[in-house]
Amino acid sequence: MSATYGPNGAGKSTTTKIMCGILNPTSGECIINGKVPYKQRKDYVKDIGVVFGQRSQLWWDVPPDDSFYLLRDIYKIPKSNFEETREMLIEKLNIGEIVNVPTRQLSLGQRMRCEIAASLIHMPKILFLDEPTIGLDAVSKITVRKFIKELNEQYGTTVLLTTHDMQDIEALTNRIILIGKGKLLYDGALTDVRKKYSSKSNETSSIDEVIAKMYTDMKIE
Amino acid sequence: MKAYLSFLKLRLNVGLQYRFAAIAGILTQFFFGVMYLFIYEAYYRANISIGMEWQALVSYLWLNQIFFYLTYFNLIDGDIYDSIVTGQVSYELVRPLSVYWLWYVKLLAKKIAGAALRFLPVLVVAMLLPSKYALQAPVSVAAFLLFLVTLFLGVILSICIGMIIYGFMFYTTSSRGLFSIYTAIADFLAGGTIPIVFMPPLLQKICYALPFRLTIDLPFRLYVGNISVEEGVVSVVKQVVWIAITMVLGLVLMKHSQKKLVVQGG
Repeated sequence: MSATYGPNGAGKSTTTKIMCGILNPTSGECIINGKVPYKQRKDYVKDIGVVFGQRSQLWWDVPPDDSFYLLRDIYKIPKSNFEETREMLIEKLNIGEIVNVPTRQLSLGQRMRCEIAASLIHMPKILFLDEPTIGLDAVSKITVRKFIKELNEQYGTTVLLTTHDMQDIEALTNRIILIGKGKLLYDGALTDVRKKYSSKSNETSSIDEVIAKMYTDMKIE
Repeated sequence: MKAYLSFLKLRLNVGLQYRFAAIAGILTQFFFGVMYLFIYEAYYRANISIGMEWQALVSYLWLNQIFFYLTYFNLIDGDIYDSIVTGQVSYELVRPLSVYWLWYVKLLAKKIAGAALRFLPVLVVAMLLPSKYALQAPVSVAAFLLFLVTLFLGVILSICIGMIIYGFMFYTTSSRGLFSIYTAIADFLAGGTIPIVFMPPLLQKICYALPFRLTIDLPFRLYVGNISVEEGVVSVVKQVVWIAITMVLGLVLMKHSQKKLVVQGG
């Protein structure tokens, strides 16, 4: 599990989209699991799940469950596997009561939990999360984080997270990748960053302060 | 294949939810049907000899209104359009499906659902009107069968042409302008605005050389007997050839445009 972060406009989402096979890079190469996402798109995307926090993959006018069944056919998931995964996701994400309500009537937090379920219904090897907790309340955020952590530990799903929410990163992973202006600036442990950039007078600076300091230091503000 | 079918089914379900839009559409179709009848009646009163009998014209006009949703070239499908303008298209590209066929099915479902909700009331009223203004029965069984075949192939063809336009959408930031121009020109060249037989000879030649007329002009004139069954059979071949050409063009364009894709809105 790793997290990518950087200031607005750094290229996080673009990088994610290249890794999802949506965009072609202007230069350079990207190989994941031995495949080039944007060249073998149809073959490659079978093994990935994606959540774009600012968009929706659920059908607006029908309940999330209908979207799940459509995804079953899209990914050609065998019936027994599908039922099993579906029940697991419904239970873990606590969406049993809302999967039969039309998506348009769900709150953002309810919808986001269904979005995550939709991205995992085919049990992908890699899960891309692009700002999955944007606009969520504390309870939903905690549910989502807890679930992602469990998924990573129990099923060994690789999770690539993009976020501005440092608490997401702290709760989920220790490996962080910092990019700014399209360049890789740092790849390493979050604890190291913390040690280096905590203000000397105050050892317990909040993670946001630490990161802000790091940005200033690296002149990417 | 099953994925596309499920998609079609869900999409039809959603499409059938928009009943009030359908009622508004039905009223619009009546209004236009009646308006066209009055306008053309004025011309026919003046005894200007033109290429179609009055009763045939009436049927042509009503057929155009009855199947409006199926044959009209207006393609601004809210979903597809928004998905490109807002960048929602991202989610369609992370599925192991061809975007071309996904959108093809979307458009087809939209046309079928829209037409299914609208065609019957207009059809019934068009038949019940006083005979001078009413839709007549087809000229023969053969003509009617050919009408059905050409109507169906015409819908397939119009979506193929539309997909080429959608391919161009990837190259522009917002394509409302492109779409409006396309809709107006295509509908005119198809005989949707005025029947092609009423056009000046040069314009007629242009229309006959292009594929658009195979979607509206051909099936409706077959129905009213203005095009012979023999010519109809030849036209079916033309339709198939045009479908092949436009489909290949659309597929190539879509493939090429995806490489140049820029996702808008982060």
